[in-house]
Amino acid sequence: MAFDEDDLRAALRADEGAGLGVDAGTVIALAEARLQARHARVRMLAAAVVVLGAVGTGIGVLATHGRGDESATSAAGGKFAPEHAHSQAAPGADTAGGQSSVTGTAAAGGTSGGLAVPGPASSAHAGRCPARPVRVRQPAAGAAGAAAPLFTARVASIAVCGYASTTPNGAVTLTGSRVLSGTRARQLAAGLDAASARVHTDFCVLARTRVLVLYAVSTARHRLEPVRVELSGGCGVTATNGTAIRYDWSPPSDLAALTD
Amino acid sequence: MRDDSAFRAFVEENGATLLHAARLLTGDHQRGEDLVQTVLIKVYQKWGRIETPLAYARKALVTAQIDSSRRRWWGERPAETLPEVPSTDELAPAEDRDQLRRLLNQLSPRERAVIVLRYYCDLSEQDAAATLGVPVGTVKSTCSRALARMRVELSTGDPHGV
Repeated sequence: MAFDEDDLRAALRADEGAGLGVDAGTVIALAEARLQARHARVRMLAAAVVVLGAVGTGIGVLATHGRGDESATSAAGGKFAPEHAHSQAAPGADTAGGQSSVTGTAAAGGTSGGLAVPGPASSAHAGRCPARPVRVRQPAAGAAGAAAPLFTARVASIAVCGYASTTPNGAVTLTGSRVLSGTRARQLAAGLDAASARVHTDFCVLARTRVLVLYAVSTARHRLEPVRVELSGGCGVTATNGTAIRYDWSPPSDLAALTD
Repeated sequence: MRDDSAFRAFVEENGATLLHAARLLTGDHQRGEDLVQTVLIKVYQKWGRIETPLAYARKALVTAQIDSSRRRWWGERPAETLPEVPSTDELAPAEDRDQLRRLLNQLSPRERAVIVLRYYCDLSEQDAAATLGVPVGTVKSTCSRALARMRVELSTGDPHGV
């Protein structure tokens, strides 16, 4: 059998238009999600550069004035003062808070090449946690990326900070902390990611505030976005990293107890 | 600020054509849909900065397909049932079309891209060359070689022969 160009054109055009086609809305949503992810990476990179610059400046100041010079030590320490870090408990400012805890973690949990890798499970890491829970923007129901994993890389360890208030509108304070590593950390991350991504719409009465904030470090020693878990009373559990969100997760009893 | 309505109109007008071209290039519905979605995301991200979105989309389509074929090997996949053995009888038009489409899938990614651009997108040799980023002579020779290969394989009746 021979064919000419018209036969070929007809063959190529057969079944044209079959299938569901392309949805512009889906394409736009995916493109926006990718742009946001790219911007987030750029922001993280910029924050890392700023922090490295600050560390370099501090080291430079120390080298210039010597270790015994109190004014130099004060200047370098001021950049990483815990009060400064804790006063900005927003996701962007968490970099500063995290860096302030890197030193403590490296000392307590082992070396990490500049990134925090918490050591074995211990309750002696309260110094890592900011005094107030980090604020994380909750994505809208059905937003792009809402069903994406809360932990964007394989988790090596998770520092869990517990916060609670004594009354529904009372001040929220740090009530406990714990560091999980290895299998336990991975199980916690997997359990959270496996929770429902469907919005919880039940009405409820707000009891006292109970919050867990999970600071995870990946096996590649990268700090992942903090995950804020709201355990508040009968309103159901909500966990989000600002992009993805999960509902109705049941925390392990030892972690829930961190908010008591 | 992107003009979403213009992009939506572009997808409305050209989405089906690009999707079909992607299916022809990949030889697979699912991969074709993935490919065209990837390409349209690129188009959206550059919307307002590209003068001819359709040409850009076509170029991105063939480039992405050729690149992905370099990265992964799709040529041999296990199948539960053996393909039908072609008969030497006179084929009905629909079967002719199916056989031509099967032969198209056996071409190299670049040959397939040339055939799709020339005979599905109806581009001139110059436009196809510009889309692929190769000289016109390369398009001519590639097209000629691809058609000859399809004719030989059609005449021998062995869709799996080389």
